[in-house]
Amino acid sequence: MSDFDDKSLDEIFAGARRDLFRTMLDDDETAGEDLSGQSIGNWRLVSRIARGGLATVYRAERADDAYDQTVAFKVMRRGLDTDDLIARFRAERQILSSLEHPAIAQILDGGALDDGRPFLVLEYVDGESITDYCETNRVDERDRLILLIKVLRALHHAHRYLVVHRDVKPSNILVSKDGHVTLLDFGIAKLLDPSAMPGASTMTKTGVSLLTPGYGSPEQHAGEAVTTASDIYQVGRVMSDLLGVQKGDLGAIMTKAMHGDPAQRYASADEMLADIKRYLDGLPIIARPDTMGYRLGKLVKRRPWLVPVVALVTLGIAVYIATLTIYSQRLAEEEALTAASQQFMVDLFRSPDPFAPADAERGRNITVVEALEIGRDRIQNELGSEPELRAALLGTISEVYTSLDNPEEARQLREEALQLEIALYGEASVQVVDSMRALGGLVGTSDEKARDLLEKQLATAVEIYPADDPEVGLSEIALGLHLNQAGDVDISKDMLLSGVSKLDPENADHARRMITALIVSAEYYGMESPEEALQAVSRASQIADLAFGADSLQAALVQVRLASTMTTYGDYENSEKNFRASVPVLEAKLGEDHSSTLSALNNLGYLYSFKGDDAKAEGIHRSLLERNIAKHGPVHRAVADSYQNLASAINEQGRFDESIPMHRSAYTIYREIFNNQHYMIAFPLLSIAKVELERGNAKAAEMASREARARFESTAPGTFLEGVARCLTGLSLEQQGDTERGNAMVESSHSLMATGNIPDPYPELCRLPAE
Amino acid sequence: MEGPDNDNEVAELLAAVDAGDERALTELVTLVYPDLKKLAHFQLAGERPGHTLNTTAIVHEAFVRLSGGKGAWIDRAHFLRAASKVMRHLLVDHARKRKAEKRGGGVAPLELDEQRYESSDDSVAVLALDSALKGMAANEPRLVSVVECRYFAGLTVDETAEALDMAVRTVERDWQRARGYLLEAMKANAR
Repeated sequence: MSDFDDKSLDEIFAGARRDLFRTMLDDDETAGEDLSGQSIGNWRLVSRIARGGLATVYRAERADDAYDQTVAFKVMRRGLDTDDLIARFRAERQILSSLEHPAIAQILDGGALDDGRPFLVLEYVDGESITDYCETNRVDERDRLILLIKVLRALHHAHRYLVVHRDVKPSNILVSKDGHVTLLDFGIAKLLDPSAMPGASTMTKTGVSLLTPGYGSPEQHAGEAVTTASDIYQVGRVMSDLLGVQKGDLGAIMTKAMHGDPAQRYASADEMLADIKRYLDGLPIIARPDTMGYRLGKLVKRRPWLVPVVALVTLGIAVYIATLTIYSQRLAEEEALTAASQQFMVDLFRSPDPFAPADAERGRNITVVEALEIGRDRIQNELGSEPELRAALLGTISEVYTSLDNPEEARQLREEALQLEIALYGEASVQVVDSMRALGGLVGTSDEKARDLLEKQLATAVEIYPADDPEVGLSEIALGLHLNQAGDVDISKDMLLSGVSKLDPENADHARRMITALIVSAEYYGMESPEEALQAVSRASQIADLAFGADSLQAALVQVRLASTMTTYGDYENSEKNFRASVPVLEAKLGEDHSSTLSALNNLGYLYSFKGDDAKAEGIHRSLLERNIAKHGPVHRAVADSYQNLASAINEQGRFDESIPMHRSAYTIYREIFNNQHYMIAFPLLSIAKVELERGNAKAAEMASREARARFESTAPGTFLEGVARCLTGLSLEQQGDTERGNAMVESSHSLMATGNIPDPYPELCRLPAE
Repeated sequence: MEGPDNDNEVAELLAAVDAGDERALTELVTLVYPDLKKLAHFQLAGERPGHTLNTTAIVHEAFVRLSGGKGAWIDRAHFLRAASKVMRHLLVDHARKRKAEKRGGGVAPLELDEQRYESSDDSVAVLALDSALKGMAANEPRLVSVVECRYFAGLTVDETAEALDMAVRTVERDWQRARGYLLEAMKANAR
């Protein structure tokens, strides 16, 4: 109130006029339209909850009653459905579906009404604006700052995916009764990838007309390029709304966030967040001018008992100051590095030159991936003299590739980053630990290098961090996961659980690792202790619900695991329930071809097979086969798996003429990809042998089973698999009249089969004596 | 275009508003409201990246329409002055509603909409300016007119000069003085 000035009055009145005219329209048109009570797609609109210039929002529920779910249904207002505005509406959908964060309202569905107006279905958030929440609940300064930290965390996530919100303001930050923060409305957000390129002039001014008066940053009002720094400015505004005028450190933080020159603001949301945390912890903040008095003042405030020591032992002071200096130097370097890499990314998505393509169409539709490729080239060509920046950027782009489900690109970039970092910072450095950990997860389990990397990163982490530091936990989990996959399950389990104990389930990154570790540790329990296994997965599921929300993608992914675990332990009914609830979420949020969606479907197929519902299993595997071929091409492990599973489901229905060629296809692909040396190659042979035996082609069965046996002997000697193959050969000999030799072979298979849990129908078929 | 059949009626109305007739102002607001709305709609629908909702243009055009497109014979200065008063009336009224809405607690639980304008402080600012202007009306009527043109109607300094039939430099000087008074008055009020 007291800070009226000329400029803000101008802004206020411009905004007031705009608001007036928009309200006129609201009263007029939206009042006329109320879709409450109607059903659109899968949704039944219950009541209208918000309306405004561009869209009307309803509270809605699922129309098919598949499960209870309240959502926000946002539909574009009639009469505004011009091409431009529709495009912007769609952009929101695209942006939201690329962002997955507990504090960002998730998109669930989208489509168009019969008249062509687009709609979006979003997570329903039951809360009030951050300012109202703080006022009604008399939230104290500390808790207000903690709310801001949550906002910054969500923004940082968006920025990492190159999304700028551009309209951060109190009414777009909702807080629920239990203090959960949700960032709403990416309606004017945009990818830093300027989708309207080339023609940079249109890009730079986009969104100015839609800004909320008072919250736009100076560069937004000036119609200049909008970057992540604009969001920082707006958080600064929100902060001053929440805390009023402040002197001292809080004032310095706000001033830095709202600096007129974007380059002088915090370089990232994370950096601002870190400064607020430092303030809360009583540490020196970076927003303050760097004076000795200030630092010592901080020290005294934080550790009052140190004062006499400081006064008496000069040497102590010197050491302390030296430490502080090094610390702040490192901070300054990091700051510069972050700023520079961010600027590079922004430039990458802004500069018209690298995009100036021969084909204008392509230029307009440039994707994030294409932009990343261009960025990669530029890193190679232009940053030879700035290795720190190069390494940091390679790491960032590698992360984006990982999240885009492209591990090969991610691996190459990460390897390059690691080499640079070793040269720059030495092996015992934070950066090298990070990169080794990431790379270890990317190189693939079969690669010996993975274990080396992961062991090294754990050793280094133990060396440079305190024993209970979450970073050590992360390192333990990374190695534990690898060991599990490599087969060292005993060490793996302890390492995973030790890692889990060091992490904080409220930190989204930690929660993610904890969930994975728990799920993998559950595998260790195996058939020995189904309860413990189910318990571990259930705990993972609770963490997912807590950290990401029950309707989130993460929670759905864990639910799939829970469902699969339940299949394994025979709880088919609950398993199917959990699959049915989670698979549609994956399809909607990740797409039908995403590896997670495919693997969930695969497990659902297994469930149907176990239940004996073979027709349903066939349907699932058939669709998986199509999707896998479309995704990976005809020669791929996943395609072979699909052939094998589909053929098995068809076998159960007795259509052998159809199934045998599919088993053959699986066999051919396995042979190709495993270089003729792997026990997987023998699986289709076992299936073929069994089918041929069943339909009286004893000779064919003999051939297939002999080859299977030979393969197991060389790749999995002494296992029950070898026993099964031997038994099948024996049976086919018997069927050809060579009863004596056949029977002897069947008998001799029994000792091998004692080594494992023999799946049906082999115990009976091979006349295994009951225990 | 609805409105008085008779151009003279409009001219009379404008003259009455100009002379400070409150009833005439209410009548003019009612008259111009549908057009403002239509124009706002066109503007909003045609909004493009880099193309701000031009509220001043809406005001201008609404008054041109009011005269049935034959505005040439009506004094343009009359128009602008009347427009400024109409806008002051509308904005103050609107700010009051916003403030009441806020106080009543009947705010929509969810505002997903990007154009919803932060009502609290800004409404207060509009109302504070209005009451500060009332305090100036007796001693500085000319300054009040300048502020109405500049803030409420969003006219430029040149347009304001034209509306009030003053030299540009005089408008600039008055504008400076007015702002000084107003900021003082508003700060005093806020305390």
